[in-house]
Amino acid sequence: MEEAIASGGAVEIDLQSVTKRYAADAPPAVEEFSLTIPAGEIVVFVGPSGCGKTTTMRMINRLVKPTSGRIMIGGRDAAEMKTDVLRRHIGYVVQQAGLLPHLTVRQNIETVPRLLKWDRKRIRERTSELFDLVGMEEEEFAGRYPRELSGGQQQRVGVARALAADPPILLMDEPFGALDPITRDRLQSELLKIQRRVRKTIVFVTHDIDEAIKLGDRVVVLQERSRIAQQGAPDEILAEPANRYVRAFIGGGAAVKRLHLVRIEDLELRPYPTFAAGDDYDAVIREVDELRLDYALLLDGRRRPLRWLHRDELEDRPTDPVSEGQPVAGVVTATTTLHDAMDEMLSSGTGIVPAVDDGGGFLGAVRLDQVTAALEETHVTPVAEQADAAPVRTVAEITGEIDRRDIEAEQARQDAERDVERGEATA
Amino acid sequence: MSSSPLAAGFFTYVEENADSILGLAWGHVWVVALSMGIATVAGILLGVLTYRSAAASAVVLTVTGLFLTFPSFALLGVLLAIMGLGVAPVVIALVLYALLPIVRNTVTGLREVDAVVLDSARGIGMSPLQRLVRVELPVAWPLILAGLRNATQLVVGIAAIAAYVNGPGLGKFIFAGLSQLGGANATNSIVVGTLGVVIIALAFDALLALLGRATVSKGIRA
Amino acid sequence: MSPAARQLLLPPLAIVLVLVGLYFWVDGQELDRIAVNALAGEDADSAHAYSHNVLVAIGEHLRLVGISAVIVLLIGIPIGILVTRPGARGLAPVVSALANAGQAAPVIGILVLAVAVFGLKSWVPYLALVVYSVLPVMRNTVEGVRAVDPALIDAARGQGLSRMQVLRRVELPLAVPVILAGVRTALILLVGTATLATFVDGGGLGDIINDGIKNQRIPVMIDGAVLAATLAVTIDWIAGIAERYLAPRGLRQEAGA
Repeated sequence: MEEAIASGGAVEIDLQSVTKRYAADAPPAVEEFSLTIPAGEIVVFVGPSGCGKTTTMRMINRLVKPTSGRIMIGGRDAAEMKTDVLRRHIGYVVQQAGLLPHLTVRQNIETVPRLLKWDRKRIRERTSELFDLVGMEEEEFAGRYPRELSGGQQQRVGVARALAADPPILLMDEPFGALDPITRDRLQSELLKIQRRVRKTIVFVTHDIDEAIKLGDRVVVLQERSRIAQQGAPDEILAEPANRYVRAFIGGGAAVKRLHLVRIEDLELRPYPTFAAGDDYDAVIREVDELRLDYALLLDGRRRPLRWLHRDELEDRPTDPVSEGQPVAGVVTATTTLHDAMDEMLSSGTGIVPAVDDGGGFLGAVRLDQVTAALEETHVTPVAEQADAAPVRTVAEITGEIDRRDIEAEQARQDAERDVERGEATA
Repeated sequence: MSSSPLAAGFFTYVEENADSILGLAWGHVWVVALSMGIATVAGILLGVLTYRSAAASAVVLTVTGLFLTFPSFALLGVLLAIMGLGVAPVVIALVLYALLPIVRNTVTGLREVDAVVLDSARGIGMSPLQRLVRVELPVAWPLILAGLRNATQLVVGIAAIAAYVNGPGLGKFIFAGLSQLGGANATNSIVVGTLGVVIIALAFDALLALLGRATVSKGIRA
Repeated sequence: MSPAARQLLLPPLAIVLVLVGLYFWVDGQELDRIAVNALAGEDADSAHAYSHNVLVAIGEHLRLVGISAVIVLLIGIPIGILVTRPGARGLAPVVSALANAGQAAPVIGILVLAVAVFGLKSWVPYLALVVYSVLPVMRNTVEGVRAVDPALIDAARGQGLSRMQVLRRVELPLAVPVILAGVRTALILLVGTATLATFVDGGGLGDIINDGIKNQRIPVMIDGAVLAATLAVTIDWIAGIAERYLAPRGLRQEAGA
């Protein structure tokens, strides 16, 4: 038999202006799709249902025949290979595994090697390897039938079956979509582990952006007709969504992760009233009032932040301001992530954290509203609709340690209650 | 067993007529087995050829369904009038009656194979024939077998009527009893015929059940 | 034409075509004295597909089927329901086993045996027909009621419905489609087996067919057989319509599905 694609190592897949049209008068399901999938990488097609991502993937193993365009697999035109032979060299995993119900786990895994007419010994050895690879006890599971397995176990067998003939390519169509979140998470991690060992070219289709970010070496965000809205490394996509569509698709859940990707250097620092011991209090108080703030920041001789002084304390014009107010708990630098900055803000109780340069000198302030703005940028729903509720909720989710009420009190205090005694509202 | 005169008479009757009972029972079994063999091959083939097209399978099911509405002894009479005496017309009639349950269950069984399973079979590179032989037929087999059992029951009973038009089988005892109603052994004859047919039907059914045990994968057994 | 309309209109169209075709076919056959006797009676000079004897046979056939069907419903459904009641649940498998074993018995044997035991009484054919066709109705009733989701029954009980109310408002309505399917099967079975009543002087279209067989008159045989088959198709069609309109709305299947 002609070896369509060599087994073992990974190969590159090159989709060239691939179009799929189901009816001549209907809009195409996939339109002029071009993408090079590098050998040995996990590329995730992510998009809402109906965007054509599955159709695009299914054209690679010709379960769907392209209307036009070419698909090169390892440098050879897929259309010129015998379809069934081609498929035997491309592992295929679908949601709910699609195991053959009348065959045992072992027989399921051995299906493709048998189609390829491997000899008995080789099949046996390979099957043992695969049980080991997907973390299942051969003795315990080989003789079982699919319906005797849990969803997660079925999917492991599905992966083992797909890898059985050591195909250079693995196509995975929402393989973990039907599993509970915990099992899904575990299988995702195991897939990454397996991939580290086998290094296949994996095309993975999902509608779950979190899954895409976790698994993908590259993420391809698709919109209708399988048009590529954006492609790139997961952090690129999260950090710089190319357009509103991608931003909307990334949505609220991923926004939380985005806080890890945004750094202080990406923000515009806010001016903040500062003063040094011996400065004129009137000027500082005026500045505090102009900016409608509660505090001023006391700096030392090298402009390093020392203490927060409340406006009331400034009114007292203390001669030794260093013994007044509260100490600055932490500062952030250019490379601090927004996530860590927020931790600082919430623990300082002021909702503000000073940003400093390499020498510790004050540059400007980062405020809580900048964090919420960063979150909002990636929200699915228009910002106007949930400007109030969503950021607060998200902040609470992130820290997980601060009660929602504390944050509300925090903001309320910042906004209005200038006269409240210090400490009362601080958690 | 029993001391009742009827029962005693019955066993005597059976003993005295053992040869012809066995002979006709064998004829009954034989004609049913032959008809079912033909109907199984034809029915599954018809099912396999038509299941992919809703229109084609509807036509096949309607036509085979019409055979079932035709009164059996009329069909036997017509075939006999056309073909003359012999086993052939009886076998043809029985095959026609057996077709519907077999075709219907084959079509239903093949259609009900999970689309995801078929898709993944396609995806791992099975040719259409391999999918049919290795996936669809094995998965549909329990339902096809149920159709075979259904058809066999039907055919065993109809074969009893075949005796009226000179067909082979235990129906002869029933019609003999009918023609000598009130006679000494009329009831015995009828009981032998009826009971014999029941036993043959149950035996066939048990056989098919055993076949099911041996051939239906544990993975899809109900 | 929608599938539903097709299912509604095509069978009667086919039935009318067959009936007309039968008339002309018989008309085109050479009917000798024996055939005319069989179809129209001894006083008649000629005969056609729907001569006197045939019409009488159709009437008898309908009576055999109709009366048996009513008895079957009156016996089969209540027994089926009874067997599913908590107190009698143990009987359900017995009924199922009986129903399966009953299928193995040849209807001709039951019929002739009934005559041998009770004599050639006019009710004997009914007895045999009822015994033979009550089984599918009973079995489907049991299966239909049993197939009702226990959670629904639980929910109904939880809302304070009594066992009787649960049966009437939940179990039976949900079981109706399955029960109706059983009734349909029973009706078809009845039309077919009623042709055998002729062997025990029960009348019906079996008389015509049998005359044809005994006298080797194929047109007579065909006339009776085609009419019996047409009757079965007609009744199946009516039962199909009833099945559609008697089932609870939420459970109705779209035609052609």
